[in-house]
Amino acid sequence: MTRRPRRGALAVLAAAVLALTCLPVPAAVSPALADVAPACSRSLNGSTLPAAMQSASSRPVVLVHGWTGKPMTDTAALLKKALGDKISTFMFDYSKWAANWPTNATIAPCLATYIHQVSAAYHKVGGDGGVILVAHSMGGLAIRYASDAAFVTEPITAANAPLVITMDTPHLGSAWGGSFLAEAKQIGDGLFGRSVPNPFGTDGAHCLQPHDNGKALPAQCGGLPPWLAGGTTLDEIAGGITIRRTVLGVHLYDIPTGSDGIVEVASSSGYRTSGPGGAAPAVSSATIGTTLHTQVVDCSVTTGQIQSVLSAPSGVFSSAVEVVGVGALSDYAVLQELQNGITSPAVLLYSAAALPTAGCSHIKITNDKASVNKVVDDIKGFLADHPAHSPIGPFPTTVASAKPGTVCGTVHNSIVNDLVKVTVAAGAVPCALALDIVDTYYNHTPGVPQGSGAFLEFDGWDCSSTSGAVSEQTGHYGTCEVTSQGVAAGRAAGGTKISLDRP
Amino acid sequence: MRKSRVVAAAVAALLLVSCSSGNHASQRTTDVAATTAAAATPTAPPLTTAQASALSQQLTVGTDAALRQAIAVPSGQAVDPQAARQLAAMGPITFDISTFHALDAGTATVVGTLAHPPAGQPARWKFTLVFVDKAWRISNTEPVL
Repeated sequence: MTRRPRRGALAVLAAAVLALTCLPVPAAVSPALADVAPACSRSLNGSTLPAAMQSASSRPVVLVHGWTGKPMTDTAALLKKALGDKISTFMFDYSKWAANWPTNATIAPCLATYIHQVSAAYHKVGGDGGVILVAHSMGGLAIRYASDAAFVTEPITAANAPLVITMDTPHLGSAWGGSFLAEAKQIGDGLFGRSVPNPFGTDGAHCLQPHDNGKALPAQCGGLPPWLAGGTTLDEIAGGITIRRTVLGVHLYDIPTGSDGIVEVASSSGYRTSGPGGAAPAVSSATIGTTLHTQVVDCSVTTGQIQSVLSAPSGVFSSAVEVVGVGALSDYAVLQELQNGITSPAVLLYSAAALPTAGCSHIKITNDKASVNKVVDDIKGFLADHPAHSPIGPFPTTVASAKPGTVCGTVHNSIVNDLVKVTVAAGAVPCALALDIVDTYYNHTPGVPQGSGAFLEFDGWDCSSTSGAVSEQTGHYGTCEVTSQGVAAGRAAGGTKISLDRP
Repeated sequence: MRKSRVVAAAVAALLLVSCSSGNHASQRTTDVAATTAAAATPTAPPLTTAQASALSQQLTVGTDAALRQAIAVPSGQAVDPQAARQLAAMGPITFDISTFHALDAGTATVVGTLAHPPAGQPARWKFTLVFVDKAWRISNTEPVL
């Protein structure tokens, strides 16, 4: 293993060290699903019925999961919560075959067929037939293969799918690709009755190896992911984890990793150089052409959070920690190695422990509020720019605001496992928003609270907590106040304050 | 649970194989090499009462220079300018040296109690120490719940 730049250290995760020991891939396996046919029968998967919930006023959104993944039901729920009846969500479920590379007959061809079916059903009820596609990880590559007649009988077009949003899609591959750990995960999944590659050698773990500037995929994986159909808009969303070193909860310094833990930001934002020929023709080209937008979602994880994961006595990591040694996993030792691009077993294990904690990590980005909000914004922007595709007008933005003194309800504080009463103390704010803000502060913290007051600013709000002694005496836990950005965004009136108290 | 164990065992086994490949030791940085070199010695040096007091003093005196004596920080690494002040507000720290436990020749843990813990934080913490430049310095901390 050669030294890699610091920004790539987290991405290599277990892959780097395991690549050192790369064991031979089994030449052939006879998976239980080998003889399944026909490939696209809906009775063999859990995809949403194409005609379900169709309405001219609701834009279909098809969600496509990734390698060894499952249907993106959580993402769909978050999108519905934000966009309501403006969209209908459809799950493309290829989980039984998700260890395969998307060129497999059960993936890209079936996805193309499915999108045509959803598009046609939307058109039948009076819609324009345009479907929005939201994909996680390898799902984005499945969409690309489904867009080319070289891989599918009936490719999807910009008319079928005018907007594609990819989340952490490895457009340039991933350090995971080709690693023994990736192969082991596929085999492990197979042992538990999930996806099994058929045949090995054309599986996702093997074919996800890094590539750039037209470099070919490994043998047996087929051609590079094709460019999207002309006229498509592609929004790439990339997660980037920063590790924050803390001592006694006090912030010392940050180490940006440039990765979501599995896919480097350069890859998840790398469509432009990822296809045949190595460089996309001009984005304005009618032949290849995508309108390309790239957004990086930053998130952080503290060293304290990582150590908590590593030290959990019966956690997934406990056995591995014993092997590597607790001493080798000290923040000081590991972070130095990370900064110097060294991928020791300790670094890999430490990095893996960040995955379940960091909101924008590869395994969490589809449920992460900040990340999914990027998708919501993309869809809103698309519908606003395409009024013909959005028959029922603008999004509802006026909801009755609660006045001072209104008790909006209670929120569970998972930190102390207790309820918190949410009251409008000043200004005006819809109760749903007030409860959502408090829920985010306590249970879905988008950053690390600062200082003794646990100060945190997010979504145009400033939240803080009182000291333990004050809350004990007064029953007052803290406040959330609208910032100037909150006012500018029109989310709540200026001067609005929410009080957090003992019920 | 069963699946977790399998995954854990797999990760452990894989890492064990990787560790045995012997390709990593030469890649350590100088500072880490110092720690690794210490690992070659049979036992960890003890943490004396005087050293523990000095550690508390350095961590909570409120200056960046002293903080760098207490915490193991790579040379040249900038530290949040607020850190020294915030740590000072928590002190002093009483280390219970009877809890000193060597993990290997260059790493140990010890429990300490903050005189003024911030709101919502516990007073007792487990400190992981690394032996760098002939002194025990703080690497990481975990609350003792």
